[in-house]
Amino acid sequence: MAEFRALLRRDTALMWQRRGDAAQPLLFALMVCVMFPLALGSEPTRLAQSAGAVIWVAHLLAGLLVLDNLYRSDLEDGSLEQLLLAPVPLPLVIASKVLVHWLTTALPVLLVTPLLAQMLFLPDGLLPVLMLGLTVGSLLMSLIGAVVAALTLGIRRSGMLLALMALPLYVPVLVFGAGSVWSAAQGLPWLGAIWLMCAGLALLLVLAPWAAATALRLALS
Amino acid sequence: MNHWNYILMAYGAFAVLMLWDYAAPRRALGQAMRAIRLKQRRGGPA
Amino acid sequence: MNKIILWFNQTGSPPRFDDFATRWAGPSFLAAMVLMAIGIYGALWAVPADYKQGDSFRILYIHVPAAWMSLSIFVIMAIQSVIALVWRIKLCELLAMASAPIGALFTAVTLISGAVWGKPTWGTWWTWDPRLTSELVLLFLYLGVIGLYAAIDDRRAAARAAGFLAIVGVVNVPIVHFAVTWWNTLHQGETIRLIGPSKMDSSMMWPLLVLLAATKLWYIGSLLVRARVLNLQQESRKQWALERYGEVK
Repeated sequence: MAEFRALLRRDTALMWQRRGDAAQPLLFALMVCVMFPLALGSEPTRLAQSAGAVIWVAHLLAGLLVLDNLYRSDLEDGSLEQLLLAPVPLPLVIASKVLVHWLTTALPVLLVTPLLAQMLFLPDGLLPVLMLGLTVGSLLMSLIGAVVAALTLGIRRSGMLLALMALPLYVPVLVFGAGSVWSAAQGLPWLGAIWLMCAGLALLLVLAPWAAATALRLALS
Repeated sequence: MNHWNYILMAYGAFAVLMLWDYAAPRRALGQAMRAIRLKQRRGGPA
Repeated sequence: MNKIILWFNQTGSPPRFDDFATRWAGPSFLAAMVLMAIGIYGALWAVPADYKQGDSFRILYIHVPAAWMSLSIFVIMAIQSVIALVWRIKLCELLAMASAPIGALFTAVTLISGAVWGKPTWGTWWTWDPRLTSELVLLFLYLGVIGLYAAIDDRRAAARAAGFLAIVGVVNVPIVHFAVTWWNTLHQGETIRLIGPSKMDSSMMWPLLVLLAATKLWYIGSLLVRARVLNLQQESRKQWALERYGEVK
């Protein structure tokens, strides 16, 4: 649809202006993955056991920290209120924002995940499970995050509150996602968890932009 | 291990938390009523 | 039907609600405390010890009512929030926000009593099984609602935003409830059913029913006091509040 493409073009252009920022979640995830060998000791077998979990948590935390940026710049220059009044459906506006946000913050971390996996000695057979789970999971987290970020929109210094509100809602994603890696490591069936996450994604692709739109209207009313 | 110690802990936690649930709103109620009196003293209805 | 709607509408007005809450909070608490005394007496002394677990099973009489309240209060909070968001009824905003701390407290009681019961029964204070974990997540959701409500200055906008979070979070309630059937967990399965025969012997059942009723009445009493406080805080400049609580002229 032409409107969606126009929105995408706008959000991409805005993100492109601040393209340096895209490196930040990537570096953060990298650093989290550096912290763990420092804390756990560098023995490969020990790191290998927790590698999947650590990478999942790194993704989660990196995503949480940039969530604030989703609406921030449009809020600050007043265009968010304009978008509310625009003839375009607000959920569509949000879907565009979430997509561009995911492409610029989560996708880079996804692309660097094989490197993270090597750093933490993740067994090679588990990498496809990890990548699959993280792809679906990061989309889920972006969608859930969009709703929660809309709720805290007007609040000053809301970063920590945002994280505290989003984390309980991220728990199912983490449990199933990281759990699938753990199951695969045990030789147990792991695809079911991925399917469940995909089902959740299908649901949230429709529900989350709508919910976020409602929350946005609430916050700006 | 004597089970009654655990029972005491559980029932004790229940009692403490219920007491807090009872006391905290009452305190807030007193503060709210006091605030209304103060507002009246300072300026009357808005 | 019209009479009920009229009553609800009228009670929704701030001064009328203040009357209602003032009148009914005390009796609710009193009834709750009486029932609690009876129930706890039954739980600790009247009921015989369990042949498998000994005396520690008596914690069930605290744990189950608290767990039940932790879940039902969240649902009530979500329903109130839906009404508040859809119909913009101020009273429902207050009732939803007043419910959150009560629910959080009951969740804390559930978790603590569960941990204390788990130690002699399973040998551990805690385990990361789905039911316990999702109950813990429930506590975080309650705290999120309370935190969000506190963080926004405009009280009505705050209630709507926090109410929205409650609606989103209510998804967790069925997860807690069905966790024992969906996963193989350490936590035992359903003992008491709403429909059909329960697995608990009736001689041991009555304190549980008493305490289930007691905690509900406690919730009502606490809800009325807390909502009354929120009401007064928001209405502090209004004529009726000054007349009722201002200094005698």
